[in-house]
Parts: sequence; structure tokens; C-alpha cells
Amino acid sequence: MIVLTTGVALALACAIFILFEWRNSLETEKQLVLSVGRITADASSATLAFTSAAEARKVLAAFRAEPYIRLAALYDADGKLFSTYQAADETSLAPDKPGADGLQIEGRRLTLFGPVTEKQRRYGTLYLQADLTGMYARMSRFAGISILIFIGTLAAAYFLGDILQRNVSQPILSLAGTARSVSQDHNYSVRAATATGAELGLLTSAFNQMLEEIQRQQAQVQLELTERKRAQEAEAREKQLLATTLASIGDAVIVTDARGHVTFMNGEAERLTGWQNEQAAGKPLPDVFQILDENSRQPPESPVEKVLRLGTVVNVANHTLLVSRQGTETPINDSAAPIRQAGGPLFGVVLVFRDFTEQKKANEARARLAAIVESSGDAIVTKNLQGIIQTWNLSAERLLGYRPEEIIGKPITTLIPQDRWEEEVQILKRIHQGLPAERVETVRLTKNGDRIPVSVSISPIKDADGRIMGASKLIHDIREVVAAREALIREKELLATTLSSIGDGVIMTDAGGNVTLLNAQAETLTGWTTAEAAGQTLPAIFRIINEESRQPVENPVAKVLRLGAIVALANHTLLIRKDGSEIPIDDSAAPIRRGESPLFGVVLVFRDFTERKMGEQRLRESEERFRALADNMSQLAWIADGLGWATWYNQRWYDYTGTTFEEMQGRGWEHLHHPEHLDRVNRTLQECFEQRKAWEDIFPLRGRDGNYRWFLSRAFPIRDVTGNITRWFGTNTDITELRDAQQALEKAQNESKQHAATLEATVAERTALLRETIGALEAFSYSIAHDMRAPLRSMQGFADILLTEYADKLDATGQGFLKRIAASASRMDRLIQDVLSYSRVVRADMPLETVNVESLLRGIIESYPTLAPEKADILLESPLPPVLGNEAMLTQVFSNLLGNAVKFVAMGVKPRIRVWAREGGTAGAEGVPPGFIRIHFQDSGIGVAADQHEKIFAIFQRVDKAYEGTGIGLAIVKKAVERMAGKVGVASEPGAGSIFWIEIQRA
Amino acid sequence: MVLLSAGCSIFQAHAQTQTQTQAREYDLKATFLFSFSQFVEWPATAMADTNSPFVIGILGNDPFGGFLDDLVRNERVHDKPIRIKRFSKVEEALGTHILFISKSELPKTEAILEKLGSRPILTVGEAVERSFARRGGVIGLVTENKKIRVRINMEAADRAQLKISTKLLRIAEIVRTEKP
Repeated sequence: MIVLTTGVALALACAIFILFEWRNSLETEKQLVLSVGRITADASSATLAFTSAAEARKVLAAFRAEPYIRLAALYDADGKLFSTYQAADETSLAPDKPGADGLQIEGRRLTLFGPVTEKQRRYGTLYLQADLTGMYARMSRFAGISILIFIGTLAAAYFLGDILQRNVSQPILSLAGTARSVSQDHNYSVRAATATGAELGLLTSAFNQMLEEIQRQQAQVQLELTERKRAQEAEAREKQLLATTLASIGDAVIVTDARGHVTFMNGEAERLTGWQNEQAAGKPLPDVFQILDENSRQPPESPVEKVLRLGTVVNVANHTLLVSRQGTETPINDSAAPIRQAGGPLFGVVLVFRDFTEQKKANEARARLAAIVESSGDAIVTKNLQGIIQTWNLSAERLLGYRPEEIIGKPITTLIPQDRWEEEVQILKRIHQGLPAERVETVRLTKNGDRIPVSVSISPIKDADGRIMGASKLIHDIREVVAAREALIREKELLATTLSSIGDGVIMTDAGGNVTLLNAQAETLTGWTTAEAAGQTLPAIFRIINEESRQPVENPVAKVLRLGAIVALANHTLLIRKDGSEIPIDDSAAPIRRGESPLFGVVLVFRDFTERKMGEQRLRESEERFRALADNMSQLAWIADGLGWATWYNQRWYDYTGTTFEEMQGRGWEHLHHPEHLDRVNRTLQECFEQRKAWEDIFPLRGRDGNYRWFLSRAFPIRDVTGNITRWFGTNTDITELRDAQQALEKAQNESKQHAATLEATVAERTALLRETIGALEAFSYSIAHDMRAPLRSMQGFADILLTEYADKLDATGQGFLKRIAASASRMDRLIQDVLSYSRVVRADMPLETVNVESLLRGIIESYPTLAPEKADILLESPLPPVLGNEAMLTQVFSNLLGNAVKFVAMGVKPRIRVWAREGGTAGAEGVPPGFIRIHFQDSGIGVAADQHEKIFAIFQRVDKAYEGTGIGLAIVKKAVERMAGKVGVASEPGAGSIFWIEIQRA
Repeated sequence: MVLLSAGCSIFQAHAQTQTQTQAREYDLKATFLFSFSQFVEWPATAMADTNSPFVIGILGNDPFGGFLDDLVRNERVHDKPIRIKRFSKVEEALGTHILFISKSELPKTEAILEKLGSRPILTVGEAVERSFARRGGVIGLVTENKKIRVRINMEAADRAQLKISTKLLRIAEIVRTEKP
């Protein structure tokens, strides 16, 4: 055990130590590489800044003194490899590109990418790779030594543990054995064997002394027990005497001790609880005396506990049920009182209780009756023989509106309308005679004076001797019943009126087929009256035969009774009237049933058919008219069924096609169609027939002369009364001429379109050609201007050199000429530069970006000496909002405008310039489109005459030759602004200064 | 295209390829011009006014085009914004921190340096026949084998009270003023 514990602890310590040492070494190694890296990076900043590769190599070569640095490299700001270093025996190479800054361990190599900075500016990246092999070797040596120490310590612990166990553990184990045998066997006479060694000996003798003391106390306890037993016997005798007394009492008595445990029960208590005194003794009271609250069925607080708590006499709450041992429940009332010796502590409780059953039953019966009366849905009123109201229940109050205190003591006639008083007299008479109750439907008055229909039942009230004392009236509200009854009568009347007023004959039978009713029309048609027909079977009064066969037709009512469904009579039926005459009828019969119940009669509806027959005649005439019309119209017309089978053509059809009906019957029309169109026509027809929508198509039809003509054809469905499509009516209109005219028009349109296209193409071609020419010209002028600068430079340069180096060899005149040459050359150079600038404005790509106008202007003003504050007063008024433009172009534009403003001033005048901007849509920006900014440059210059305003923006236009210039500056401004989708302009008068402005998109 | 803008340049371009080579050369020189500001310490008097910008001046024709302006747009030296200014006369350039003397002005080098006197201005020039540094300028830029070498005249630096970082000195060639 000891060895194991020691082993684990040692192993853990070693592991932690190794781990700690490992982390420590690694951290040291990292710090070393980091600090070497930092020093090297610092030394390298200038080499990267000034791209001195030789110096970089020198810096890195310093690593020869640090053999663990295997690789080093420097990368410039663009990430390009700038210089590398490799240890003498190193084979791997530094990476081509720098990685993310930081240290990383890869296998046995530690790599570092670190920034090379100078004053927070990064010039590049340093890469170092250090070898960790040395550290790994150190660590494995360290681990070996740790394991050797671990094994040695473990062996030492084992030997030491063995010696300790022999001298200390074994005597203690023997002492523990003795103690266990004493406690298990309660044999206090055994003693532990005396052990050697001073401390252990002392322990053993103390243990033995303790055993002797326990043995002595046990004898003392035995003596006390004997005395106590004697006292208890005396007490038992006293108890017996008390029990005898209590047994003879009529009430039940239970006595408990101070803890609430039963000590005694008398005979009555035994009877009520079902427990024997002997069984109950010693049990907690609630076990024996189980009580429940009658209403909640929950046990109330035990009376004994309450007495023990309060120390006073306690009466048990009402409605208490005692549950006996057998489970029977007895209502009881009871009380409990504390038992205490005069002024002494309470040492028990006496509980006295009584069976409460008889008294309770009577109370319950009374209460139940009152509850019934009170909760009855009917009004219940009692009165005495003088007709004075005695009682009045809740429903009476609801029904008649009086509150009990308002009506009790009042005569019953208060409730009875005067015209019904006689009824009451009769009722009272019957009661006096002791006759049984009778229901009477009558009327009563409410408190509001309303008359309400009620049914009243009256029964006499007799006293115990059978004498009549009064009457009780049960008044039932029958308003709803009366209302329903009246509604039924109205409905019946409505039905009779309806039946008599409809034009069809209606006969109703019962479920047996016997006639119950004929309406007026049925009476007229059959010749029978309802009175005569009622009760007869239907065939007796409704005799029908087939018109042609003269055979009787099956009685429709019998058929309905058999099938239970609506039945329609066959056509051609004749009704034989009572007088023997015959009339054609059609009819139908339907079962009468309510909901799902079995049918309880049949209603037969029939109609004189004579008039209908006349209608058919009229239809035939109408058809004749239609045919006459159809034959004479200018279109071809036809009628077909839903499958495309033609049944009729108009005369025009036959005239045009030269066919007969026999040839055209069915799908004969197909032969007249052009083969190229037939499939399509069939398909569109089929679609319209299926979708039940009108049809329209254009196709050629062959005429009798064999030539085709074009027809616009339409067909629409003809529906019967129920909405079913029975036939299709179609027409074909000759549109040949119309079609020809249309085609001619289309052709003309197409031709004109083609002309337009050709014209457009020509214009596009010529525009492209023109553009090319312009481009070539621009390129030409650019290269001329550009190439001209070279000889100019030579002129300028050599003139300068002549002036500086050979000034002493020239006289004043010579120097003057030389200066003129130089000045002319530089003017020429400026002219060419401006032409180049203009050319660039015209040709350059011009990506638009957000440009901060204000800072751009400030930059320009600061960098041009002629715009310096001592030379010119320039006021920039905020805000100058940012614009969408090209910064280089805008620089040019602003420089030129400002340059002009300071240049074109009267001699000796200090130029004053004010620059401000207005945004389109704001006040003071009239004429500026929304989304644009107009920037104004106001000067105090010589001004421009109105007729020159256009001209000054053209290239090579110089208005005032007194001022030096190339005449290109404003042309550049205009071109540049226009290329940024803007506009330029000027407002000026000679001598009053100028306001030049540019409009440019807001950013 | 930038190099062809109105404000620029004296250099002569006969062919497009040569233009590009020179463009790269002057881009690099512009970068150097800015980088000097990081490796040189000016006396406190030259940097005292906290509101004024750090000024890099170009005396004579500007060979950098917009490149130098773009390069320093968001940069700061000793917490000052950098401003590029162009001068035609040395008298106007007395308030600069770094002054690049353009090739066009090099014939007048000695006169210019004399005007500048012992002002704390880091003068930078190129070599035409003789190195600028050997003629008394603080830093000369010499192009050798398509590489730009830095030459520093320590006497000139001391006269201008400029402290040049040893890092910069290590990569530079130290020269002395030589009489022509």
C-alpha cells in the first residue's frame, strides 16, 4: 500500500516536473529566437528601405555565430525575397513568400516571421528558422535521469514500509480484534494481550480498564429494573377500578396518556369505534378514533391533540363522522378534556362522545325538502284556506317578479287576472272537497302587470291529522309551448295557401298510399274533391293510362313507396277524370320525410300537358324561321355535334361548294379543306369542343370551280335548358379580298423597314470611319508634340550650360541673345506640354471616383508658389462638397482655373479669388441640375467681353495677347469637365472680373 | 501617363522603354527621399512648430511626377503631415526639411549650398559628372549597375545639425567634400 502510494506520487511529480521543464525550455528557446529576430529586424530596416542587398547579406551573415539558426531571409514590402542566409550544412531553402507574422513550431524547427519596421513604417519581413534538435536531446537526457531517480526512490520506500509494518501495525491490529470480539459477543471479561513497546502497552491497559467499568454499571441497571416492576403492578390495580366505573356510563369515553396514546375505552366507546379495549390500548388515538369532517371528508384536528396543545376543554366541531374499525360511519358530537393533578402537568386526556344519528336524520329531511322547493324550476307557492300566500320560492320570484317579502301575506288573487277569478273559486272548491290535484292551463299576472300563460297544478296541504290547511300551487311557465303551438298553426295555414295557389295539381298521401289532400288544381284536374277523396287509395282517384297502348301505368305513389326516391312519370300519360274524360299529363312523385326518419307520405305533382304540346308546335315554327334566315345570309353556315359530325348546312354552303347533303354528311366537309390546313383545323375544333368555348380559325375552302378561297370561320355552342351543349352552330365568312390587301400592306412595311436598316448601317459605318480618322489625327498630334520636346530640351539645356559655364566669354549682347533662345525654347516647351495635356485629357482613360474638392484645392494652393498667400488672396468658402470625378483631371482643371485667375489681372493688382459651390436643387443654384455641384471661381481680373465667352474655351484662342500663354488652358478645362459628364461656363464683363464655373456630379 | 503631365520634367525620353526604366529609377529615388525622413533626426528647432507640415521640397524641374505626392499622401514624420513643394529659386526653399536639388539645378550646386548655409535641411542630389555629396551636399544618389547607392557627406550633415541613423550610415558610402 505504502509502496503504491509513494510510487504514484513520485510518478506524478516526475511527470509534472518533466512537463514543466519542457515548457520552460521551449519558452526560453522561443524568447531567444524572438529577441534575435527583433535585433536582426531592427538592423535590417535601412537595407530594405534603401534596397542594399550587400548590406542585407552582411546582416544575415552574422548568424554564422548562432549555429542553431538554420535559415534566415528578408522580404521587401511587396513580399519579394530580398536576401537569404543558410547555415553551412543546411539543405532546405527559405520560403519564396513571407507567411503571417508569428512563431510556429514545425517538427523540430521553430520558424518566425517578424515585421521589419522603422518608426512604425513597415519595410518588409524577416524570416528565421531555428533548430530545436539540441533542446530535444537535452530533454530526453533529463527524462532518463528522472526515471532512474523514480526507480531508486521506490525501492527505498518498499524496504522502509516493511520495517514499519512489523513494529507498529501488527500490535494495533491485535487490539482491534479484541475490541471487535467484545462488542459482538458482549463478553466484557476478555482482555487484550499486553503488547511490547511502551506506547502500545499503555493503550492496551487503558482498554482493559474501560472493560472493567462497563461490567460494574451493568449490575447496577439490573437492580433498578426489579424495583420499577413492583410499582407498575400497584398502578394496574387502580386502573381496573376506574374502568369498571366508566363502563356503566351511557356516553362513550376514551382516555389517553399525555402522548395521546389510548389507555382506556368504555363499553359504549368499544361499540362505536368497533375496537376492543385490549386491542386499542397503547395505540395512538387517531388509529382508534378515526373522524372525518362530514362535508370535506377530511380528518379534522384530533380533539386530543387540540387539548394537549391548548390545555383546556375542547368541543369537537359539528358534522363530525366517526369511522369504526369495520368502516361504518356514525355522526357524533363530542368533547375532550385534559386530565391533570391539581395544578400539576397534564398527564392525559379524556374524550367523551355520543351517537348523533337520530337527531341528524330529522334535520336532513327538513333541509332537503326546503332545498327541493327552493331549487325547483317551477314556481311553488303555498296559501292557506283564506287564499293568503304563505310561502314563495326562488322560481316564483323569477317567474312572477315579486320578492318573497313583497308577496307573502298578500291574497293569491294578486296574481290572478280578474277575468280568471271564477277559475280560482272552482279550484278552491275542489281543494275544500279534498279532490286530487289537477293541471289547469291559465294566465297569471306578473308584478309588471304582464299576462303570462302558465300551467298550474294544485295540491292540498294537510296537517298531521289529515285536515286541509291550505294548498300548494305549482306554476309552470308555458310561454314557449304556447308560442310553438301557434307557429305550427301558422305553418299549416301557409302550406294550405301555397298548395291552393300553385298551378300544378298536388295530391298528398300517407305512408300507406291513402289520399290525405288534394289542392284546388288537383281537384279541377281529377274532378274529385278532397272531402270525397280523403282516405281512398291513390289509384281510385288518379287513374292513368299510356296514350298509345291504352294500358294502365304503374301508380307513381306505389313506386315511390317501393323505391323511397323521387319518381318521374313516363311521357304520353293520360289521366282519366272522375267524369271519364281524358287529359294528357306529366307528373312526378316524391317521398315526404323529415331528416333521416322513415317516409311518412308521398306528394304527387302533375300538370296538364295539353298546353306543353302546343309549345312544341311553336318551336317547330321558330326553327323554320331560323332556316329561312340561315339559308339567305351571306356566310356559309352549318350545325354539327360535339364530335364534328355535321347535321345541317345552309343553302349558301351548297351553292359555294357545289356539293349535296349526302356528300357533306358526317365529316364529309373534310374533303373541301386544303390538305395543309386540315390537321390544324381538326385540332383547334377538337380543343374548343372539349373546353366548351367558341371556335375561330382561318383556312381556305375549295369552291365548286376547284379554286380555294379564304374563310374566317367561327362556331359557338348551343345549350339546352339544363345548360348541356347539344350542338354547335358555325359560320364561314369569305375574307379572301381582305387577306390579299393585308398581305400587300405587310410587304410594303417590311420593305420600308429594310431601307431604314440599310441606312442605319451606312451611318454607323461612316461614323466609325470618322472616329478612326479623328483618333489617328489625335495620335499623330500627340506623337509630334511629344517628339518635338526632345530637341527643345537640348536647346534649353545647352543654352543653360552656355549661360552658366561660358558667361564670361560672351558680351552682354551675346548673353541677351542666348537668354532669348532659352526663353523661346522654354515657351515652346510649355506650349507642347499644354498640347500634350490637352491630348491626354482627350485620350486618357478616366475612371471616376469620389474626390474631396476642398482638400484638393488646398493642396494645389499650397504647392504653387504663385498661389501663395503673399501673392494672392484666395478664399475657399465651405462647404465644398465631394464630387464624382477623376482626381488627376480635376487637379488639372482647378490648377488651370486658379492659374488664370491670378494671371489675368491688371498690373500691380494683387489677385483676389473666391471659390464657392452650390448644389443643384438648393437656393442660389438656379439652372444647376439635381445631383450636380456648380463650383465657382470668381476673380478680380481683367474680365472677358461677352462676345468672347464662347471663344475662350476653344483651343489656341488667346484673347489678350499682352499676357503670356498658350491658349490651351481653358480648352483643357472644358474637355476634362465634359469628359467627367459636366459643363463649364463663364459670367464676365471687361474690367469687372470673371466668374468661371464648372458643373460636376455630386459624389 | 502620369509622367507626361504638365508640371513635369526635364528628362529626355526618346523611346518608351527608356521612359519606363527611368520611371522606375525615379519611383525608387522618390521612395528613398521619403525614407530618409525616417532615418534622420532633425534638430528640435526645425521641428518645433507643431502646426506646420514636414516639407519635402523640389528645387527645379520635378522628375517624380505625381509619384512622390501619392507616396506621402497619408504618411507622417514626427507626427507632422508631409507636404511636397516645388521651387524654382533656392531663396524660396529655405523652410524645407528635405530639399531635392533637381538635375536642372545641379550646375549651380555650390551656389545653392552656400545660400542654404547651416540651415537644418537635408539636401539630396544626383550625380552629374561628380557626386552631389562630394560637392558638399548631405546625401548623393548614385546609380551604379542599375542600382541606386547612397553617399553621405558627414561634414555636411554635421553642418546642418542632422543626426543620421547608423543604420543608414551602414548601407551608405561616406564621402568628403572634394574641391573640383
